[in-house]
Amino acid sequence: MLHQKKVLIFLSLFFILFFGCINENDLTLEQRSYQLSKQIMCPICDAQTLDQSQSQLAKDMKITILNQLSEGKTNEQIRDFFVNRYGEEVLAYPPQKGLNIFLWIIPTTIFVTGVLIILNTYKNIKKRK
Amino acid sequence: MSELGYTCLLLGLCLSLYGIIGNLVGILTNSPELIISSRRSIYMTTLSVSISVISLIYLFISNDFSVKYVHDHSNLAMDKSYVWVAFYSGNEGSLLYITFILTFASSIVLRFSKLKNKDIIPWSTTILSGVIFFYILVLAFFANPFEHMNKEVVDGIGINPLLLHPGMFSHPPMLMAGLAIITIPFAFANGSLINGNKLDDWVDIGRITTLLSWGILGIGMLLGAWWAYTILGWGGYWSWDPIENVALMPWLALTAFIHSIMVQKRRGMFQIWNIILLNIAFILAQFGTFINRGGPVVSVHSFASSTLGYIFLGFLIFSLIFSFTIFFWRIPKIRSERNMESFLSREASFLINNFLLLCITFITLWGVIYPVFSDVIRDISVTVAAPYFNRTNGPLLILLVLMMGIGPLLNWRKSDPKQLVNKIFFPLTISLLIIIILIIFIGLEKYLAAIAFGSLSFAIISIFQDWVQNTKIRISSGDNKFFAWWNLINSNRQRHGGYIVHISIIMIGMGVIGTNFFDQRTDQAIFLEESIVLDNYRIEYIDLIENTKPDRITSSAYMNIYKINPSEYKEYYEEESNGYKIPKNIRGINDKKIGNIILKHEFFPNFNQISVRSGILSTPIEDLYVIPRDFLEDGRIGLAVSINPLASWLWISGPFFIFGTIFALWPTSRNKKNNNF
Repeated sequence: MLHQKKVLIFLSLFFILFFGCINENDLTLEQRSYQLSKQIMCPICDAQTLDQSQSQLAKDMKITILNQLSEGKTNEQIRDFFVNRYGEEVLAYPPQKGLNIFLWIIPTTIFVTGVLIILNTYKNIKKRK
Repeated sequence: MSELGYTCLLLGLCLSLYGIIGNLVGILTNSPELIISSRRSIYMTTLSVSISVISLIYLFISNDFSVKYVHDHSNLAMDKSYVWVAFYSGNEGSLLYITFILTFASSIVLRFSKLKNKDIIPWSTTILSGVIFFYILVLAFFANPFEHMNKEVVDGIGINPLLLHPGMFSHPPMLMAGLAIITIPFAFANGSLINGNKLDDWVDIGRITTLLSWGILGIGMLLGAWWAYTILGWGGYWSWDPIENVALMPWLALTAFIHSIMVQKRRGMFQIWNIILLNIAFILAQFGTFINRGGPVVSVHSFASSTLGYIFLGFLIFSLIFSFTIFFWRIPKIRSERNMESFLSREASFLINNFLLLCITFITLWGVIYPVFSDVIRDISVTVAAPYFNRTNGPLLILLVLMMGIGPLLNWRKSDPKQLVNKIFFPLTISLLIIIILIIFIGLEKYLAAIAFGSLSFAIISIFQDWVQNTKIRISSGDNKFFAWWNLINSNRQRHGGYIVHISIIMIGMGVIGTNFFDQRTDQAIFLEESIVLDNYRIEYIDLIENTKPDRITSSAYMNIYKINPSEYKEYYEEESNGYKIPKNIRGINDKKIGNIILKHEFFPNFNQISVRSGILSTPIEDLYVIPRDFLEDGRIGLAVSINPLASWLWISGPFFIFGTIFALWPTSRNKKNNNF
């Protein structure tokens, strides 16, 4: 049992490490605007990010991003600006609050369940020996 | 001609209904004649569906615009070679195409299957007839491609201009064929489950048909990625769009299956599990059809959308209930399986592989359906796109690559731990060294990329180590020096074909990591004769030609590409920007012209659509990728220039993938069968 716990602790550390947030410092404004244009959807296109879209609105939005970045706003503030305008839908992935937590809980649950099943198989093999 | 096509559809409907009823009655009354005749009804269904297909093609060639489908998807100006594309470019035609592939493949498999007289065939044929019946039913009553126009017309609307590309000759039909063929292993697996006595009879045919479906689907997706990258000017090749995801999910489930079926083949284990995997793959394929044809999710691939979504949702729910009912009905009858002997075994590594693949499948599924879920529960629309999938699936994919390296080191049943340590030592040390060196060079913040490259090198070294060691053993036991490797991989095509596919996956992995972690990008607008510098490339805008045709206005921009020494351009360097503009007539001393590219921007007034062709200068190390974004009124051209490291490996992988799959599928000749492991 202790063994199983250790493995779980190890795995959760591993996951925290992997799902760690994107580091926004040390990047040029252009790199940051490129990053943001991949995280924000074009509101009038079907499932295209600003980066992919050829529409005029997407071009204007990219200019807005650059302007706001040079005013010194953070990525978070810029995302919020667009959310206020176009709703949560404009983000390429929803903010991690409220029901949206499930978007992250379910994958973790799937993964942990699988790990438990495999550990169980491992224990069964040990027992038979 | 349209009457002939439609009549043949109705005939196919009756024949496939006969296939269902005849088989069932034949099984109940124990009448072999009836069973044989209803199996033959599938051949006849194929014939009648083929005639429908030929009539639709004929209608396209003869420009019969009185038929609505022909009117909507072609016109007089369309080049006749695009008839094949126009045929499946809409909802009705693509359904007819899927039905044709399904009936045709079923006939081939039933005709050449060695199981002909076994008890599972009648049940499998019943299931196949059932699925075929459903598709023809939809075609005949809800999506008739032979429907007439209400009014007289002289010309059609035309084909969607985005489809006017050679890539469209192969990408959509391969995807659809791959998804359709999943039905065949599904039918055989469930047929044998209903029969309930022998759960191993279907293994060979299930494996071969799955590999076929899996291979076609895989190449279809790769072609789609290639088309998006080289032609569409999205700047990407995979965007985790819902439609891409619904093709990927069944492929992942099938990938799990082609691994775990080997455990059943070799060790007689995982019998139930393999059937579950095929059920999952089939249901996910139906989910794909549902999403594709008017599901509740938005996507860029809205070519075949229709109002049929809920009919396919109904079929999805029906197949779900059907397969699980059979499953729970039969599960008490299945004898207990053999047990795993050791965790250090090939079968255990396949278990972990299956777990990871299904994890990725279900996380992807959750990402696809979550927006619908959020809409219903909170009444707030959200988007789940690439960043989510990269973050959740990325680490799992790395683990999967690690398993790809560990698998070949393990033996079936059990491995000797000492031997394993010996085998793992070399690949592990080298890949750890690679990780350390990479972290020194690229810095700690991209540690994920370093770990990913380390995993890839671990996987590839362990494959080559296995080949080198076994080839040496062959040579020392007297095999010909030059053919020893070839003889080795021929001695077990399933295993070594798998390794070749693994190599192609490693190549894809290289491309994915290179383009995701190390891409550089700049957006600039320049006048004629000005240049853009990005890293050590200079792109000079030398000419613009505009050309007006009846259906489109084309602007072609010509660029020269130079390899440069960036320090010579230091004075033009702009703060806060990766790339910078260079004025007219400024050249560095060391500039070397390495090529030229043509960027195209086409506007189709009839469709109010823009099609962009980007320019790529590709080397195995990196691609210089230029997308024309705007042609501004003051004469400037807006370019998005990027450097995509290792991108070409994504496409180099293709031939390896195809070769590996065919190699694994290639039948083993009889005299070799016994030493086959």
